[in-house]
Amino acid sequence: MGPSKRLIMLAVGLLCGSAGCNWTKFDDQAADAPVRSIGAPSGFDSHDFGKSITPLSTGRGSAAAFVATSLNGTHVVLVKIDSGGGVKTTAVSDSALVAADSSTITSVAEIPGGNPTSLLLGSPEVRDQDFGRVYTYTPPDPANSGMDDTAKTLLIPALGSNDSGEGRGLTAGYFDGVAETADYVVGSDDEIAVVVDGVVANTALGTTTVGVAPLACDVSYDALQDSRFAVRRPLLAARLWADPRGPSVQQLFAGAPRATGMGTLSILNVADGVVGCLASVPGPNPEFGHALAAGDANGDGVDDFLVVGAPGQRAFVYQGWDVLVAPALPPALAITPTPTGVDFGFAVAALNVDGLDGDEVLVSDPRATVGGKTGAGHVLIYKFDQATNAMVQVGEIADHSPDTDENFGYTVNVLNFCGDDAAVAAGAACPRAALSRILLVGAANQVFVYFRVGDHIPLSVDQTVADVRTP
Amino acid sequence: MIRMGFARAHGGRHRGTPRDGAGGVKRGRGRTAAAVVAAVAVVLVALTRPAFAQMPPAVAAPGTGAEAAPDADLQAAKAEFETAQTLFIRDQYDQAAAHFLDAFARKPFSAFLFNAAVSYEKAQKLEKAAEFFQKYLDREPGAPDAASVKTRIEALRTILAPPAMPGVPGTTPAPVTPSTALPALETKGLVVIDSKPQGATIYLDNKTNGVFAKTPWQGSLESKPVKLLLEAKGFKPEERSISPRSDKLVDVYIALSEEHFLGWVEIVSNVPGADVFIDRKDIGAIGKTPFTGHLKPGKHTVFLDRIGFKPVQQEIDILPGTATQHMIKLDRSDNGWINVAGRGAYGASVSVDGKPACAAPCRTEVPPGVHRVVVQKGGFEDYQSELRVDRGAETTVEVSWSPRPSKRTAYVTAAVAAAFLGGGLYVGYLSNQNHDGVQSDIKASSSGAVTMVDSNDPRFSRGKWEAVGADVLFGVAALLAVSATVSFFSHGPDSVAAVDQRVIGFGPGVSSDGGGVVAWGRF
Repeated sequence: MGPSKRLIMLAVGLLCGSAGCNWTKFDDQAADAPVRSIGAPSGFDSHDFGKSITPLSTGRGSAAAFVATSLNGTHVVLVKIDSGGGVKTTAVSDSALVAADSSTITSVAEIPGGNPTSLLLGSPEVRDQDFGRVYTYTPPDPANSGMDDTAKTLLIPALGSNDSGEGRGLTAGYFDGVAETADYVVGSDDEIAVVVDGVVANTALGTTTVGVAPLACDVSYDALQDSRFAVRRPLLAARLWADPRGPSVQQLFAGAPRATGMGTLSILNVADGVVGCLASVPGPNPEFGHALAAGDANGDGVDDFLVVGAPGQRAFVYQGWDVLVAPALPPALAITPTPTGVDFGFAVAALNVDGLDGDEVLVSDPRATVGGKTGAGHVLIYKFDQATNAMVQVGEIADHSPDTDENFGYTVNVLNFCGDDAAVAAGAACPRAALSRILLVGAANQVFVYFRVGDHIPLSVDQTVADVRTP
Repeated sequence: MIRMGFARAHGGRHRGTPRDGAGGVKRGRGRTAAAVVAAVAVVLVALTRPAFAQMPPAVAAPGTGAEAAPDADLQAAKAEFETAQTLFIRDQYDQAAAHFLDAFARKPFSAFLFNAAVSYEKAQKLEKAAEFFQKYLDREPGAPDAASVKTRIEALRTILAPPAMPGVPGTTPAPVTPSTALPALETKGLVVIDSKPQGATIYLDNKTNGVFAKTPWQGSLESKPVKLLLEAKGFKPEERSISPRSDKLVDVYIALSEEHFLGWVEIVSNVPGADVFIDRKDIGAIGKTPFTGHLKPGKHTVFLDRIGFKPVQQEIDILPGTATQHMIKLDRSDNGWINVAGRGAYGASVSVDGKPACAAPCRTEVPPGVHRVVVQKGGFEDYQSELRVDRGAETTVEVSWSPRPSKRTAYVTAAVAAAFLGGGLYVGYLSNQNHDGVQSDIKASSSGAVTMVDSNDPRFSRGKWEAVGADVLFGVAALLAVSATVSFFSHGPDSVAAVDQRVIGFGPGVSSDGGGVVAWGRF
């Protein structure tokens, strides 16, 4: 700072002295910061906040919302973000979660289609038991004060009542071509059950399992692997191959990291109520398949690439699905960070961060050393370079003031943000023009909301950035 | 000429001693003519005294206080006296008595007769002793030791004519030795004081003891040092120290010098007690009326001040060697007075109706009415009040001073306030630095940097608390500044005063003791 600037600052200080310093301007400035840092609410295990994040498709009365759970306790928090960036966190009461019996809820999935949408809560290790449980839970709706907002135990007959690790993986999608009702998937340590069309009664109708030899896809899960990777079983519903049954029919992608041997990625589908194996992709390392994400590389609105994280080693991008027919696989594009990371590939996401058509690939390394702080973590941004036919790093996202063992990037998610307050208030679908996809990065004790990523953050220096909060 | 007249008058005084001894009588007859001339001269001198004031300086004979009188008889008498004392000490009492009588013949001082009597008694010539004791009493009937001398004479005569012893007719008792029958007796010393001119007033030691005698004077004094003060109108006062002894004749002769170069002035007023100032008032009064004293020849301004009366000044012209009297009339004043007095008044300044009046303790004259009086003194609160002053009245103000609070506390508080203000400015500067730094980073975020400022950036809270701290410091500084300002301008309890008004007047009065000026007052 030059002398003239110091004099100016001193003059400002004198003016401040004559009129008093306005400390509220820092609150205003913080509210206008392009990144919102959300800390753990009171009573929540702060060390876990940000390690289990599930974006919700709608804001539930706000511009955006997500659910955070604890890895070490029965804590569920609903976080709402209004169109101005304001944050409101609501902890789900213990009475609402009494069915969970204080067991840890490590996975959450939203079942789309309902109003309000319901959640699946997975507790793979019930307290004092050797099996897991899945619960259904509908968060309170301000417009419906009389609704039942307590969690209910969901029994999956195909998995039996004492399946080990039941609920370790959860996802929802459309697998059988009927778009009106969402299907959902429940993974246990050794099996995957798909519940089609929402039929969850004590019937095996529409329920099947995969993983019994000599089927091609082995969906068993190795619970002996590093605890960092064993917490949640990665499951992804995405449409990468064109399914002749309709444009909404999706495939199920199940990652299977292992303690020994190579991890695998299984690609499944559901036909006539039967889960089938489309392809099995072997990985180069045991952690292969720990993180999964699908994205749109060309910006046509259709997912056309898959990202598979292999923590500690690399990430792999499979693109070009739109020109292939199952079970043909696109070639893998390996992403190797420079320098080599620690847990590179722990979380992956696909999001347009450069403002140009198509999503970029986001790969996190939550244990990377950043700014001299070990374990601070960061998220690296990659884009496909046609000239080299390789993924090229184009950016890095990190905390502005990183801390040691912050684990920035423990989770990386994309969150829908509706900037139309009227639509939000009416509970209507968000107009396409008002819908933004923003980045949600979880760390060890906080969640960062990036209001200037997605379609609004160009990486080119000369481009003007708009804030999703700007009307 | 005047000097000669005085000398002859001195000699003529001893002319009237019909019981002098034979020698003395003989010498006295020889000087009768001179005594007559001297007496005439005394009369002439007395007649010239009223005109003394008009006597030109050149006519008056100059004299000096140290000039000795050329009295041969006195010197001879002194020599005889000392010879007699020497013989007396050698127990040659007959010769001693003869010399005492020779001294008496020169100067008929009664002490010589007394000493001759004592010598005869020592020589066992009791008849002569009784005779000269008697002559001593005849000459000094009022002498302090007259009673004891008389008793001694009777004792001596008893010895000389004792009663016959009973039962033994014609027998004469053995003579009684006086030394064993009578108490021992010593000779007297003698002090002779004379002056030119004669008639000067003699004071012993100081004038407060009162007038001792007028010159010429002879007699005995206690054997201890004594200071003689001689004063005569128109002459400079003189003083001399002597040490009288019982065996000595101390002869003091002082010729007073005339103050012919000054003028004798007497200033009187119709109201006595007025302060008299000559030429300048700022050096203070030289006396009160009636005033007498010498002034240098020339024009002088006489100021008379007397409370209750209008100040008067008058020009007088003093001629050398003259005596003048000036009667100055004082008129009663129409104003009143404010008198600032009291033990703590020294060093205070007095202003009346916004104008400096005087330096206390002082009295200032003001027209009758209500006046705003302010008395100020360093280190104390001012006294100020509206005082009503009546005509001819004096309002006395005795201020009880209230100390003025020290300004040290105010200065210390102001310094602390400045320190807090400086601290506030510095902390505010840091706060603004944080704000500007974050703002700069936010703008940088807009230009593509992906390491963007988040809402939990520590600079927000740090800047916020720095701003709060700065405001707290500013607040404390403001409070201290207010406190310092209040302290700086604060006053202690006002100084108060006891105010007393009295009306003072003077006027002529007549009582059984006579007439004069009467002072009266209403308190």
